[in-house]
Amino acid sequence: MKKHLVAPHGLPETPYRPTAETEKRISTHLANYPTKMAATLPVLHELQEEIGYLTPDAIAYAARVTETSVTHMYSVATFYTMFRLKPVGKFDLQICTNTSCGLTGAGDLVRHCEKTYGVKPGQTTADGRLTLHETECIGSCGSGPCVQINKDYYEWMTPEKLDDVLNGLFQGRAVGRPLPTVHIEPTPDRVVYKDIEKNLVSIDRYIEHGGYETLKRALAMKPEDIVNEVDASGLRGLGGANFPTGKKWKFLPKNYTGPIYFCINADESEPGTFKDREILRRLPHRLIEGAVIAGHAFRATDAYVYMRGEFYEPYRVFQQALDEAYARGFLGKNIAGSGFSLDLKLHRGAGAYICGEETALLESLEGKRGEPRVKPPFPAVQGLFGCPTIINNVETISQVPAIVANGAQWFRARGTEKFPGTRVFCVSGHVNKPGLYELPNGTPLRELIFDWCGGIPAGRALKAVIPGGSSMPVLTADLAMKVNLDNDSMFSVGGSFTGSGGVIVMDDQTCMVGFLARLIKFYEHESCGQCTPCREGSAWARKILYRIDAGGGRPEDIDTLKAIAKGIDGNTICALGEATAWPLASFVRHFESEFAEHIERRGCPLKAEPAGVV
Amino acid sequence: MEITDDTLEDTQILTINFGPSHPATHGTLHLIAKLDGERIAEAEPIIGYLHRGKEKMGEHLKYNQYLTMTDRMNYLSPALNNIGWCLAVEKLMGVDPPPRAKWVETIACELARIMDHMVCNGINAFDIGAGTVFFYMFQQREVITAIFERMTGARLTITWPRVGGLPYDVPPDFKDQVRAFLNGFYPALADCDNLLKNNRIFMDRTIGVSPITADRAISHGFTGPCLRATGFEYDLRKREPYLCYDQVDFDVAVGTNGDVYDRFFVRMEECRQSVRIIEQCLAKLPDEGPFAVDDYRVVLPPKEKVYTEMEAMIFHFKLVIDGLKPPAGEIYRGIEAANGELGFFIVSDGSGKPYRVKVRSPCFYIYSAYPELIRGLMISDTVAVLGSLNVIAGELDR
Amino acid sequence: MTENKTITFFVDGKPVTAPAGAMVIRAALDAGAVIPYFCYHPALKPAGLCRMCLVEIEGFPKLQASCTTPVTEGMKVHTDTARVEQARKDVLEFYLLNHPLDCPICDKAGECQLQNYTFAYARQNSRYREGEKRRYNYEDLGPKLFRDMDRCVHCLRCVRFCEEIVGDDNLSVFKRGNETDISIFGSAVVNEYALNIAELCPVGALVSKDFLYKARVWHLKKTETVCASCATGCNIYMESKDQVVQRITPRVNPEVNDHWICDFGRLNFKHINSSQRIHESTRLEDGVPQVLEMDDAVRRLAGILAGAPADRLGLLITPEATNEEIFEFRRLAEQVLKCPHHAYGLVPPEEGKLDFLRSRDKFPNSAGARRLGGLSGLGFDGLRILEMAEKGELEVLLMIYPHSVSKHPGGEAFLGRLAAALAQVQTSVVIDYLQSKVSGAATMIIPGLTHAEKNGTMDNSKGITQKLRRAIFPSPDQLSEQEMLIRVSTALVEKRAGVTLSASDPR
Repeated sequence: MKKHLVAPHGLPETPYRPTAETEKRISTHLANYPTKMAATLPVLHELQEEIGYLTPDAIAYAARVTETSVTHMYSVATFYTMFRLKPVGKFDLQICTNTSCGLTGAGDLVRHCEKTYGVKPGQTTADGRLTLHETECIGSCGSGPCVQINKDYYEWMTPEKLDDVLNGLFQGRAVGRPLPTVHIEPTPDRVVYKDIEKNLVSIDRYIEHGGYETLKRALAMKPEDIVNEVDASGLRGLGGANFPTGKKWKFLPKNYTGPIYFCINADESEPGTFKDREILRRLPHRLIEGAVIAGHAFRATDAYVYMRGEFYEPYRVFQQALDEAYARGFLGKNIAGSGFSLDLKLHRGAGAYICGEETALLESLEGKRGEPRVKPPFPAVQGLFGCPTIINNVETISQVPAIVANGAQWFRARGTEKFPGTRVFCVSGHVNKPGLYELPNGTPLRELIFDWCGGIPAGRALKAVIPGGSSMPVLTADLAMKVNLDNDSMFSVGGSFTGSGGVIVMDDQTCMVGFLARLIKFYEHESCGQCTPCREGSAWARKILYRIDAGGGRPEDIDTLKAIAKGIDGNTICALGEATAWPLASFVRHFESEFAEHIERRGCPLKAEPAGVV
Repeated sequence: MEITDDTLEDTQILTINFGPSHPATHGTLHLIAKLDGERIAEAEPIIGYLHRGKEKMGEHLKYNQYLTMTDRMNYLSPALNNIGWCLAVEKLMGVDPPPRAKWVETIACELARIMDHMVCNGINAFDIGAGTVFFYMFQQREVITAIFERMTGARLTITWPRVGGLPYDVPPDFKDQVRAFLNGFYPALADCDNLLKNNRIFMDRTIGVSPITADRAISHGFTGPCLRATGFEYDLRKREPYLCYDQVDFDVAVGTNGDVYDRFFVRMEECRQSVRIIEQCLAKLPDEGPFAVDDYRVVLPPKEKVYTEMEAMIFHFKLVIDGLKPPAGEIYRGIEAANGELGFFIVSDGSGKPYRVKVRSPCFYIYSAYPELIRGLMISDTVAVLGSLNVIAGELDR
Repeated sequence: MTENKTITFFVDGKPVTAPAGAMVIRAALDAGAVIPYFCYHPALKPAGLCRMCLVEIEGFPKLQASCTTPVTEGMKVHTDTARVEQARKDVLEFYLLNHPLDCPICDKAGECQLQNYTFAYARQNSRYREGEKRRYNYEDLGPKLFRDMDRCVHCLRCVRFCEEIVGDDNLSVFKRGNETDISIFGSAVVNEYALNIAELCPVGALVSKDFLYKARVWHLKKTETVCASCATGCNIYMESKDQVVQRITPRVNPEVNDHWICDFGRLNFKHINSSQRIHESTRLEDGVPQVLEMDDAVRRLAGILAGAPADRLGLLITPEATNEEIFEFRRLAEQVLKCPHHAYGLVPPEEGKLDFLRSRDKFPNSAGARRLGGLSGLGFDGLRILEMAEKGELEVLLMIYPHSVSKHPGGEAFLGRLAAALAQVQTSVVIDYLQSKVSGAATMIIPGLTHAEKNGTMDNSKGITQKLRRAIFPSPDQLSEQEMLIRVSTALVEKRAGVTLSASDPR
């Protein structure tokens, strides 16, 4: 839905002015886009960070400075979860209670906080120092349960550790850094994560290790040659849809003389996925190098990295890397003297999973609500600001330098025929060693879970695996033992897909009803609301599932849930419909007897009391 | 005495108005009679005094609303008219009510038939002078109206059933009530028979009065008891069975001469056959089951659902405001009403109101033969004949 | 590009031609297919939000929204397959989940798309057993629109209308997902076309406050007529019940007003039954108004006009009149009375438009007045008659619709001047339907008819002649202005010719 807003009667001067520094940053933001409206999200972020929340005066200021309207600002601000229209406590504690963190103890954390601090989610303590929130996946599933306190992520949390952290914060003590974070397995012959443990954040270190060499070579190649090489390599998009990258690049119109936009999707919000964060904060220059090569390949004129708003640390690191790259001439005009120019700017999202959908991302970049567009027209024809646009995932672009350096055949030597190369698999949930594992496509799933990740802890058995981010159909343990991590095997044997590479493992003490209920609540929360099947269907399914979980299930509920999934699937504007319908249908289908037992027993058959769904 | 054309030239011909307001013309029937002494030389019936434009009204009423019109056609047996209408609309819509509804409707048809015959014969006898029979028969009719009242809420204009089945279930003691009626009916009928069948006066007054041959009757368009009294066995319940008539055994009463006597006792026999049918229906009526078709595009959803479910609320609303909508097309459907073939020809344009309704009323054709039947008869005979034809103004004029 | 190229594609097996670039839904609907939709509207850009218009197109694995799919040569579209039926059932079920059981109190009932589609396509049993439905807070959208957000189907027609047609973001969308709220921030919905939203909204979420709870729509009689509030002449339906106009709704005319009317014209029917109506003929006798019969008044008028010399007569009509009235007026003035001092308006009307629909000229028939008055150029020159009256140069002044003189630029002043000038005129006659300063000062008043009560034609600003049709009947003894003028003309002609009609003159 396009908006071309006109401030109806002109906007008056407002009593609020931000600090000079903030104003300077706002001017930079405004200059980063061809329209002032597109700076809506950055401007709102700046104002919220300065004041603590968005006051009516701040909103009026934002409207004036972006030449939009107050209505537009509120319309946008109420869409994104991160924007606050009311003040919060000094420390905003957001506990992720989504799938993987839920499996590893987030529920205990929440209950602990409720008891210890006397607040329920959404409430602030009387002394105003702590606000408790339950939040959706913040992209750190392999080190869960995770919390975010103001701008920082705290991983591997337990109630005791959380108390430590909070006490430290309350007393104004500095937090000991570096904070414990996700495990990255040093698998052999890594491509995306090559040298990730060597701290190549600074451009000098990156160049020392061979960085930007391929860029110089690529800029001397003909763009079509790069496209053909990537196409021949069979590289597929690694954000979730697994669409062949070279094919996507070839959708751009030939002989187009206007701007061509390149958006790098760093919105990583698919539950179970946490791989792009590491690239952004540990290997930012690999991404930049890949971006420039890709931009040169399809003649992009401007590029944006759309990064999810919660990634404060990656944002700081990546922004610094960008500055370094510009300073060295690897970005901007006449890159490395090649005559090719590319501007790459960072744009932060503000808390909406739907902005990972490519057209919703474009809407959000244009400064509006992240509501997916109807396709056709496709972004390659009419995308950002109406111009041809390519959107690729962070990891996909990070593969490009190696492909260009070593050639398509080298890339195809690993992986499978239809899904060549390696990718980073994210394993979380009930495994002994959750973390990031870059392996060739086609690796058997059981090898990943049992060999690399050390199997299921506490001697329990495997019950279910989500193989590609929570939007993919679930696999029973039987199926999980038979599939390989490529789409042919995954689909023909397991009826699922590798999606975003997020592997969520569940042991035999996991209540499928409770898990699914919390998952559907996520989709309900993230639905943009444009089209009816997703908006209404997700809420309805969530209500039924919570009712069943609490012991109020009825026999007809199972058929109703199946019917809801069928009613959503295929009838929506964007793939969030399928993302809701596939887990809903597959959990109910594969574990129907457990659902039936849960209903009959009026409670979870696995636990003495009804499953405390987080 | 023979009536010839010359007779009419006779200046002694007296032209009188027989009706429309006359205790012996039952309903607003008007006869301009040219009398030669006591005898009818020529008669001209004038109809239309009870014409209320029911066929035109059909173009402005929804299909279920039209039941208020059919009630008031043959108002002595409204259930038959209503069921005839509902069957026609159901055929147009391609809708089949569930078995329970059909059995109840069959019972209602037969009860209505008995009601009608009781009035017809009772008044016919009364006009001839047999007052006792009149009261006996009307007493039985009272019992039936009580059954209808209990079942539908009204004695006469019952507006029941609906297209697609019954609007509500029959009361729990329905079967008992009907059985109680049947138990008392045979003796009453036997009494009436005894009083009249071999009664010299009655026989003199009715045998040989206005006989009509089957051919002549058919050429006029007679159906029903008046036709069967001539010896021609034609009963739509047997020829084109509807409702549950193909699942019950009964005989068709047939006369010989088609005179008043035959017409009277054909009706009496039909009542006995109706009792037979009702007894079988009572045995076969399922005690439970849906009483209307399960399609809210035809039948109103139950009230509890209307108040709690959105779909039911909308279906109820649209059904009431727009009416049920049969597909565009036309249909004719006739049933064996008390008087003969009652038929409805409906043309639908796909909307909630018919485009055209035409009612084939049985007594219209029967009454058109009246002048022929009474030519040469004495005035008192005309009353007997009129009573035996069972001309009901509501149905005749619509 | 492909200008004026038509292509052929198939709808349910039948070949259909359509212009290249058209959307499947438009072409299919025009060919007679039945496709339900909420968010599609021919005058708004396609949105593809409601998912009701899904059809099966061969070659596409998923069902496609026909409102956002352009037709291509040879495309095979199916609107009646089992998959399409199932999709309609499923999508409707989702719509009905949270919809409140408001039909008995909702104004939209009877013209509600949700009702119609539910009856046609939906499952008849609800599977929703979760108790309470989603509720929104009550919000006042200002004096024009009544909002009940619980009923909303989120088609966003209202928001898109404000953006695309009016050009502001008065109404906007807030929050997301199941809590999506369509509302205003701050101000009321104040644009001049807001009430069109009441028609656009396919359900009863946004209804006109003016029409709220007034009548059920199936009781309304719709008369096709034309608005008389300005020179644009938007095509409208006057919807009346029991001889009272209940509301006005737009009629589609691509050449004049497309799908819309302005709020002023939409609400411009209150005067029909107002206390300002002139109901009776009156004549001042020694300063006291005496009531007259209509026939009597018209006869007296003829006498008055006959009694003054032609150059001391003034006749004034305004472009409020229909073409027929202008015609009769001109005949009376030029042929019968041969009076040089007659005019069809005081001053030339304003030119141009206020916005995409509203004209600056507030008279409905300026073009017709000029055409039938035989005027060249823009000119209405009635000012000279006003000046003559002020100088006392007129014995008799007949004014038709003087209250509308205020519609001229600078009009209120003219109204005052005209009223004052009547003191200088011996006999002044007013034919009008609304009281004004002028009628208050006149010696004789004859009641006229509003545009809702008579037939006629009017020319709009583009010169298109459009029919005005009577929506409600005035009282039986009320004559139309056209009839009055004919009678006066006839009476005068007869008098001159010495001819009288027979005693059984139907008049």
